[in-house]
Amino acid sequence: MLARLDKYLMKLWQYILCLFRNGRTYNPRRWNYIPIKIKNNCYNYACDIQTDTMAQPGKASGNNFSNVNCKEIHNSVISDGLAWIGSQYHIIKCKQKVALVIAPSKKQLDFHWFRQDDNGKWSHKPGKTAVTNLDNSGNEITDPETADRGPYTIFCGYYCVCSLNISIR
Amino acid sequence: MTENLNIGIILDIFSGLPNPTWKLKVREIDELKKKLIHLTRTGRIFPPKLGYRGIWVMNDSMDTDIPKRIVAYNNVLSIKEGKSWNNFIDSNKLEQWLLNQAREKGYGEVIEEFLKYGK
Repeated sequence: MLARLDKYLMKLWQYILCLFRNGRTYNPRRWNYIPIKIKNNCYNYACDIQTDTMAQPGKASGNNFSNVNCKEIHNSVISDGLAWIGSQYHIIKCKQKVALVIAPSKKQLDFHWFRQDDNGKWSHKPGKTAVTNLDNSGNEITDPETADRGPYTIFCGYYCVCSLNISIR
Repeated sequence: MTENLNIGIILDIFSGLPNPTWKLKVREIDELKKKLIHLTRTGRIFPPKLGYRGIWVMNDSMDTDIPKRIVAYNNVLSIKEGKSWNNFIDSNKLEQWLLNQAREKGYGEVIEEFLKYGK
């Protein structure tokens, strides 16, 4: 009982600390050089953690997904320590927001993440390619819900990332 | 003589999941070489950020008849020669040949879905 309370209070304290952390600054140079660029993917970038492992949701926390869909990826990232905000954008609550999208098919094919930077705009890292703040139409991303996301047409929702809380691999 | 079979192919298609990869067989390496002859220079083209971004040939073998890096996208081959990249029309259909290999390996559905956005 006391151990659970202690754990809860620690998480609450970390959550409060996160609320006051500044958002991430858009700095593609930190990501766009070899070997960092080819060893880190969209999930690494969204969480702002370079593991050099092409991080997969749930891998660090032992809650791997079997199928690429909103529900299974959701369970995996919650296990990694991300916090669910909702399917709609909220201005408050979190300064390090990320958004999950899925490329659908008869079975969902792949996932992708966007992250919001401290200038209010969004950026992303498509796989092994360079970090960019442009969508598939070459426009700056002001809203991941309406950006040109190519095949990633399913919008799952928003999460809060605080690197104090999360572990990815 | 074809030696040290270390020529890999990467289907550059995913963002979160690892890209599909495989190695070429001996007879396929000889076929690859045939598709790199008599190429005409052309301009560079840029793939999209999300979706199909092309198919890479990674030559980490001792075979110097094959460039170290080739990217085939939208009927253009970008070939690394020294430190620079040069672009050629894919007149010998290297990209299609590699995409067919990917289909044979079970990536057909992925390719058809992502190709809608990649070209």
